[in-house]
Amino acid sequence: MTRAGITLCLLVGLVAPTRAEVPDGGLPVDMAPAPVPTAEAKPKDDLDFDLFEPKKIAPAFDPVAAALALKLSAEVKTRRRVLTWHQGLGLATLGALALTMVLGTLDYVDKFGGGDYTGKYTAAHEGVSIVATAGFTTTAILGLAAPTPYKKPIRADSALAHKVLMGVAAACFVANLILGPISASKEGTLLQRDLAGAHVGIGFGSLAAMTAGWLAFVIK
Amino acid sequence: MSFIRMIVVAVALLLTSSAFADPTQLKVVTAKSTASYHLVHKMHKVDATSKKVDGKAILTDGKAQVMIRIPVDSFDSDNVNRDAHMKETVEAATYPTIELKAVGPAATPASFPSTVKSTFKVQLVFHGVKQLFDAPVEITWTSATEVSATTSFKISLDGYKVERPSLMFIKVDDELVLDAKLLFTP
Repeated sequence: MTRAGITLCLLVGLVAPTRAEVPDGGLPVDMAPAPVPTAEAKPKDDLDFDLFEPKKIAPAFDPVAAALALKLSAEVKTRRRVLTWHQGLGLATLGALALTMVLGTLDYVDKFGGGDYTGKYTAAHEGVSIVATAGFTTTAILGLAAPTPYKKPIRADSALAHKVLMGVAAACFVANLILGPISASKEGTLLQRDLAGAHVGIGFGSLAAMTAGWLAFVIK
Repeated sequence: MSFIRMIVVAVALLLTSSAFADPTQLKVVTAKSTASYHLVHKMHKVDATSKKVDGKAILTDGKAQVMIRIPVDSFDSDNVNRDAHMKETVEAATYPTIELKAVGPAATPASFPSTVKSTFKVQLVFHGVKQLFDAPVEITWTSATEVSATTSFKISLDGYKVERPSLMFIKVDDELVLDAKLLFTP
């Protein structure tokens, strides 16, 4: 009730006919006793208020909503598990790729950089490169196949940078998967040196792209 | 009876004074209000902002009652993966809003503009957990009915039963700083 309304009521009460005076020393007949506080009465909590519209009362059990919530929860758990493997395998692959590059560079120097052409790094380089390629492929599949319970719009952010740079690394992997055997097949020719040089360059490209893709997601 | 009439007149005169003014109802101007959270990870910091703050306030007898609601999925950290991960950890589908209630002193100043710092009693409901604490609030009165409020406080993710997200097998720090800049108008 506004203060104007209360004031008006009081003023009306002033001019309205009054009841008979209560005799001195006597109590009005209709005087009601004051209410006695009960044990259940509690002081009003300062924060016991709601300024928004009352919320709609949801049904006791909604099977459709419950099924959706269960599905969402399962997808979230799966995604976390898959992405944990993605991160672990990704780090291991990065290490394997770095080792591949070291062995590959040693192999190139051994054959074309003034070394003794012993070929002692070739087998190790091939073996580790196969491990790195398998690791990269598996990591990529895990990342792409992880469920997305909460939709993600495509935006120019570090998550997109991670995907683009890993795409560049993947292209380098594919190129080197082709160049490596071709280069090996040209044993004893001048062409082999050029092909091997390109192979090393693309290898460094894959390592740089994969490292940048990892850092984009971790640091930013 | 004439004495009773005098009492009634005195009360009527008192009611016309500003000491018993009607409560002032204000609401948050969403377009000019923001709420942000700040998290620290060993490798980077996460700052996310929501521009979908909804709220109301009632000013009465020099006191303010405030209620704010923020959709959990409205926080934007400029990284879609990070935001999706946040929604997973706070179970945004089950607990879609952060709800904040606050009471504290907010007496209308004698002149404008005026800035007052005070402490409000706050109840925060987040991830289905309710906690009470005190928070500092800076209130700037542009006029009797246009008020902006700024607050910042820290909460514990473990305290709200939030499983702390991790990156590279390292979890974020437990402390989350939440701050809000709100504009209230009728």
